[in-house]
Amino acid sequence: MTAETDRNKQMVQTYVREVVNRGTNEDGTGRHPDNVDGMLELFSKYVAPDAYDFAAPEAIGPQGAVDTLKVMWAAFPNSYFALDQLPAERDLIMIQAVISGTNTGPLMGFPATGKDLSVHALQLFRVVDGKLAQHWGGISMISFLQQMGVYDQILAPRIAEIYTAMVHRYIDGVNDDDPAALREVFAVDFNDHNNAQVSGLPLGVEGVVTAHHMLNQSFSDLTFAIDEILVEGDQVAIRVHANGVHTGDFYGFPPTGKPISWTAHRILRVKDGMFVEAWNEFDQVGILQQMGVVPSFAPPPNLEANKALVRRLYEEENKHNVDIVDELMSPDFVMHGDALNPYQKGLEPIKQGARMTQEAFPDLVVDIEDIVAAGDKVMVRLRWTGTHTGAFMGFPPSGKKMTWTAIATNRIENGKIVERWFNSDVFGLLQQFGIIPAG
Amino acid sequence: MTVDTAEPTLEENKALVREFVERIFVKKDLDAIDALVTDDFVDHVPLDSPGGPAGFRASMDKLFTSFPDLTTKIDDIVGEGNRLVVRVAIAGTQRGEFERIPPTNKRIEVFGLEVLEVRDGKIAERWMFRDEMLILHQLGMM
Repeated sequence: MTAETDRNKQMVQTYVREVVNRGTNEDGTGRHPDNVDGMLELFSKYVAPDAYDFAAPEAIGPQGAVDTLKVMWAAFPNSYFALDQLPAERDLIMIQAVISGTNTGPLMGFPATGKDLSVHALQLFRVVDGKLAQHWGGISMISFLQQMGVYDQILAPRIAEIYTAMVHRYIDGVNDDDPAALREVFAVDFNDHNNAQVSGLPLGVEGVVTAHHMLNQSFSDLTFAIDEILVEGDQVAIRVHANGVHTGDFYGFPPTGKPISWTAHRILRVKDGMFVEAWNEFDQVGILQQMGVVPSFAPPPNLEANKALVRRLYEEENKHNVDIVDELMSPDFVMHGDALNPYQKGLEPIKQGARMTQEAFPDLVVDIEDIVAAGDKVMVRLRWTGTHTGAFMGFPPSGKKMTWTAIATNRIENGKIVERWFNSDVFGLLQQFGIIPAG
Repeated sequence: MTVDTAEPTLEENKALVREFVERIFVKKDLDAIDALVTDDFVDHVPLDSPGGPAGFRASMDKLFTSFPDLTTKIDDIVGEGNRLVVRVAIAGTQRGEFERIPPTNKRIEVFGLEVLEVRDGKIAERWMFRDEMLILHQLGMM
């Protein structure tokens, strides 16, 4: 060993003992007090003014070394650099060490874990004029983050982005009938657990290619849209819907020319960046129902009963029986209203509105002028008439006879009104109050 | 203290280390591993690395699967006695899973350190540093 090597090695050893380990022995004795004020001076004895760390974009100098170690000391106050070997040659001195410590302070935005950590550190220094001038190396960062228990936490959102992009590549590939895109994201030995749904499909990614090719032959302008993507670990759960026109054979049923839409769920598992297996459910029977080749399982809507329900509601309103809404309407009722009856949920606002109106117009009568029913909906055209003898919407009693109209769509589920869309002639009413000029 | 003349010189050790890095890392000749590392070869970093020639071969195979176009350039070899330090520059595109990160098709370019212990004319122990913080940034993970 040359005298130069020996001298440089001694200096690095002293630096590790006096600065990095703050004069501490391995058993924790002899620890320096953390003198922040004197720290820069201490570091300057060992670190060159223009010292360069190859992990940093520019020269860090003694201050950079202080800052780096202060971050470590804050997170690991008992950190200790156990020197293993110092192979050295002239101006290049290698520190091989194991750093251990207890994480009792926050680090990189993560709260203290209280964990005991131990990682390898390899640091190569170039010594110039007796000071540390260049530095390569550091700790095994991934092992460190894993021991902190934060590595997967750091990766999770980025991996979710990658898997989400794979889902988009998959669905775009399906929409474009592009086998190359599907082969990019499905493994050659992809296992579709629902392959049995279609007989004669090839195994692996080619099964996906063939299945979607067949769908595109059954349905023209077939488009899948992604409604939901959930990623956890190696699992990717998606919900999609599809729209197309039935212009080709589907499960042996000849083309009907009908527009068809359906929903589907799929859970895919990723390995080595490829979808390796998947489970699938889609609304096959719904498709056949829309084609008219299998009967609907839902009972046919009873339009007369629905109309009778709506008629009864307004008849009872004419009897000022406000509480009838509890019998005829759902407690989860939703009102998609207008200026007079804004968006509301539940029945209490409906009852309050009815009471207020009846107090302002005690002789109020509502007439159904038209009623139209289809499916689960009943649309009614209504006219209210009454004498304005009480305060209404902030207007004092005028004694005038007033009238206004509205059209409402009511949706009925299980014999109750669950939802209503409503437009009324608020404009005409305000004209009668004299707020807006008539005509 | 007696001087063992059979003890290899530093220059001989450097030549061995250069051959090790060139054949395995640069030329990716994994069949050369058996001839270059001892039967009880220890790979110290990371802590759970598999040992022996077969374990090392598996680790290298995994690395080259993650980065099939990986290049390694030797910048410097220094050392003392049987312990040598190789400063390398590595670059490659992530096409396979790496440290639980699915393929990103992104390129990494970082420096690394290989510390190698020579025993009986073969590599007996290995420590490794690569700038993993920079790798995580380059792969878009941080």
